Amino acid sequence: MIFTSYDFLIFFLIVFGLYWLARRRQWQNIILLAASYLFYGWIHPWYAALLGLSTLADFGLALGIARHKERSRLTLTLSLLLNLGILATFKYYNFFSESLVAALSGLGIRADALLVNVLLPAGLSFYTLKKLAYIIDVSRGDLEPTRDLVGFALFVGFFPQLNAGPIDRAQKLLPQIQSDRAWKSEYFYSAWPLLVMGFFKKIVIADTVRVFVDRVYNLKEPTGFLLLAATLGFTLQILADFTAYTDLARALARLFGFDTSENFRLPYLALTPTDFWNRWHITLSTWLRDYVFFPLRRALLRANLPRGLTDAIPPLVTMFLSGLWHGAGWTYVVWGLYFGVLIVLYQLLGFGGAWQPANKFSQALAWTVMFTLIVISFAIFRSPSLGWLGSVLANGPFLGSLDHIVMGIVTLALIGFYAAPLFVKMAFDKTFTPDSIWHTLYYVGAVIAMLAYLNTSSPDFIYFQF
Amino acid sequence: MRSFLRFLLILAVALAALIAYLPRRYGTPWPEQPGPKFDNAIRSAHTRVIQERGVKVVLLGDSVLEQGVDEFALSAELNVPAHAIAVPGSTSAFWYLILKNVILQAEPHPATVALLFRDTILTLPNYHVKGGYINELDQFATAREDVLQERAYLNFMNPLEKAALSYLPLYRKGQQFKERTDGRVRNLIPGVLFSCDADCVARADATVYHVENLRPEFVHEALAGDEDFLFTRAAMDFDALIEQSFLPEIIRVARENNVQLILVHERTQIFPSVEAEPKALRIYKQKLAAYLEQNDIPLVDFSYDPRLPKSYFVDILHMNAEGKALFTQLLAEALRPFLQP
Repeated sequence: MIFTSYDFLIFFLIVFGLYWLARRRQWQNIILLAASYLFYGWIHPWYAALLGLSTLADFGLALGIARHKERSRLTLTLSLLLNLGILATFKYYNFFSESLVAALSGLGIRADALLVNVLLPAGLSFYTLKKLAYIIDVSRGDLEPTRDLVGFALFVGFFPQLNAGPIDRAQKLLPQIQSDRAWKSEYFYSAWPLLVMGFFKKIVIADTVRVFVDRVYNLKEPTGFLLLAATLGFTLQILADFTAYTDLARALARLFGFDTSENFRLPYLALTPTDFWNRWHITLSTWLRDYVFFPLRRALLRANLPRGLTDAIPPLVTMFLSGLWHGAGWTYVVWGLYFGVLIVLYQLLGFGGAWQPANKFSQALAWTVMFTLIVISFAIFRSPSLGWLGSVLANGPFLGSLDHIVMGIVTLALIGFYAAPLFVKMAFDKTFTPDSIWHTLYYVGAVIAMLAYLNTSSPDFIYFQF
Repeated sequence: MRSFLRFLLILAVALAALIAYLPRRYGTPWPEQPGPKFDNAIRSAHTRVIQERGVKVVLLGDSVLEQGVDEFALSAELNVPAHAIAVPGSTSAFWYLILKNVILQAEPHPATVALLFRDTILTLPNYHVKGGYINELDQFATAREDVLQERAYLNFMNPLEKAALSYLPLYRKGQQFKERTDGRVRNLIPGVLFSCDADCVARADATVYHVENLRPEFVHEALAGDEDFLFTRAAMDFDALIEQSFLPEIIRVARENNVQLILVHERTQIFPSVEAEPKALRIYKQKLAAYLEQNDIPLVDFSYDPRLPKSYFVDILHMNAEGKALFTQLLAEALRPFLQP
């Protein structure tokens, strides 16, 4: 079920009504849990079964860690194997089996039987990270395991953030799940602007820009100029799409009385790669920082490795895993490594995490360089294959015929047109208070545009596929 | 709270103003019927061709027919004038309209219509009927097409959508607004920089994004993705779909006009063999065959005909020249027994 569908509207209204009528926390949690499993199993019921079984396993394993401290390492390993095993099976089986079959066929060995199309359940990558954070925190002694199975299952499967995050930690969400909640009108008043912006960004911007972007990326040999225009478009599309989902997820959670994490803070204003990852998909970045980057760095420091290695390996490994988490394909792996290399290079040049520009000029320069690097990263991310990208960049003309130039300009103009509302919103947010008349007029305009654009197609949110 | 009420008030005023203004601006009634609006004209030369050539056999289908059958070779094989009406992307809604408004309008109309289809396409009335397909359908539709409206559109609309289409002109004309807005943005800069007007931009678009310039893997994926609609669990539920589909209407219209209808299941490469076919599809096909038999409609099945192997196909659906020649011959052999002397 997707947030922009009629099915979801009916589903949400029923769940919302029942939830607030229930009044007692225990019933509210049961209603939300049942709703979450219905939401998740709507298309494929086995998705919900997989979620339920893996949730039960981690619930038991976390209690096991707390009860038998001497065996906590073994139990943690079991949980890691279980979670990463499920993730690897569903997410990476196709990628590795295709690569293996191709390699074997190169040796003259036929292994077509390995090519079984395994369907990735939406949201698996997101809820796996939630459960892993929980179990690691329990094993570290940072978190007491909960004995409330319904509460834990709801933390893992909470439907507003099930398909594409935010990847909230148990420390943030579980206490809210285990507290009493009574309806307050402020829930609605804080949710409605997020709902308007979420639907507007998805329906009007992301879904429209996607069409121009896909057309170029579906060409055999686009010119460099067309590729540049389409990549700028994808830079806009992915921001609009992903922030739209996050806005809607946060608004829906708010309507049930939950406060969930912010996932974006104007990421394209970043001045360095580290700054970018502190602003982009924040809950994933902090997850990777806390459970991969810091432990790895500590381990390398303990091993007394040379400074160069202890500085370079953690970002490279972390960003490699980030790439792999985003998708099973070489484009994602290279995209992750690209950011890893950028972080290392920026650190080497003295522009690490805490760096601040000395003046406006260096700020503008740093922004221009970083934005260019971000756009390049999205060319890698969006390309159908590395070979295609390499061939377009190496062999294709930059401008091409007049027809190509015209289409490049047309694509740029359309992207500029659909990016404009986001610039206006940013300017309004900076200049006026959130309850200003300008914001009201903006939201009215957004709803009117949305109504006009609604009667077209509405594909899934991009981040569902990760 | 104040800002929300202010938002609600301004939005209500703005929507009311648009509801009052847009129907007048476009000369449309309010409220409107929720389905799409078609004009009364049939823009097809096929009726004239059928009359002029004295066509006895009409083949009806989509691009698979276009690339799979040579109508002149078929005419020669059958020894009667045959004519193919192949509309790329067409589905059962099109075929119903073409039979009713194009083929049967010919005087005299042909005695035999062979409808080439694949899998569940005949019982999916909402397949390929929205977006750009509305204009395509309009070529074959009259202003009043109650069956089409009900089966292809109204049956698939939720109450909210029906209300929005009837009462919110902004929603109803969304596609039009979007196209107009995008059109202005598209044409602005090329016009200023290169004196390239809307036609010039459209030509550049057609050249750059011509199908031959697309990545073959994308074309393959797009084709396969489009076909997925035919193999959902709901699409393979024959009993639930048959009465609301166009198939009973196609049979009724043919019968009432003494046209012999023959259904021809095309050979495709979607499933390499009958063993690879989903069980639900197999059951669907059995039920379809029984339904056709019950209605005395002959079914010619090339589904997994071994005489048409993969080497005759350019993709999962379409044949190459050799395949076209062979399939034309096989089709002629299959149709011959059904043709009246």
